[in-house]
Amino acid sequence: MQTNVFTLPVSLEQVAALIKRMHSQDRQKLLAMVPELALDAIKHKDLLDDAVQIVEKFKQELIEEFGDQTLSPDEPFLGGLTLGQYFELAEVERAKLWDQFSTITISDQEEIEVNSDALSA
Amino acid sequence: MRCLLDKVTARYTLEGMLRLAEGRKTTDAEVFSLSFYRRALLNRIDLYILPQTQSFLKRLEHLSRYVILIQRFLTTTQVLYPTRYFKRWTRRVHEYGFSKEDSEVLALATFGSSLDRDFIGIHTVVTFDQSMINLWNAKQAEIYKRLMNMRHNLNPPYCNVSLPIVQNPQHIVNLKDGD
Repeated sequence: MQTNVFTLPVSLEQVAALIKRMHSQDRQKLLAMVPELALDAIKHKDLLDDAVQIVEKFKQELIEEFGDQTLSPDEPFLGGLTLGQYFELAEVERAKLWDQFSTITISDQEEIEVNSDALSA
Repeated sequence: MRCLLDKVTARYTLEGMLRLAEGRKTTDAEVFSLSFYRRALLNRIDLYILPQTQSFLKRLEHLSRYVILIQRFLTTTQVLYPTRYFKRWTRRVHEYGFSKEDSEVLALATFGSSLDRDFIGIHTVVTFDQSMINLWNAKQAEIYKRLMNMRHNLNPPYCNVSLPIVQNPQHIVNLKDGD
């Protein structure tokens, strides 16, 4: 499947952008032509439901750790922004902010020697 | 089993933790990141982060309100550092059409270790970057052959390195300890 995708003259991102711009009726037609999409969507939903349950337990742990001092949107966060303002930024803006505040890259690091009996993956 | 969280997956995990601690609704990507993180810890999977992720988190540590979350994240992950041959392998991976940054992450997964220096390479790169996953899978045979050729000229333990699996966290179902 993945190999076949690369024989297409367009990228998956372009296909996705095209589908997003389609009218609902056309999407329905597409779904009828490619019913596997619906099955994948159901699988995605199942995975998400499972993940939500796991995260719910995690949330309880975090709330217990914070006690009654849960975070507020007015807490100062990055670059003069509050936490609430940070989460109002678009995804791409948040990513940029992380890049700005990460002062090093992998290639800045010296290559290290591993032990002679180091385990390989 | 050793897994490397790319910088976006690490960010989604942290953002998800912040949203949970604030009582905000999490996004689907954050839910998948948090779920993977939590499952990995429960299964005693070793989680690694990039040096730039650690650098970012260190910048936040002075904000006392976030210390609990940052410490929790940093104590459950380790930083992966480049080993000898990392730069050479990065240049080769870059030739297959990956960005400079993606090439570095992929090369680090093969030529990377912790400060204990007791292993080389990790098993899985965890990323939401579907383009990178697709390209990695499409070029797998060629990259593998290239690595095998390079390995012939290296001394132990560098001659035992391997390629990682590159996967979206939502698709990593089987997590097992002890690999």
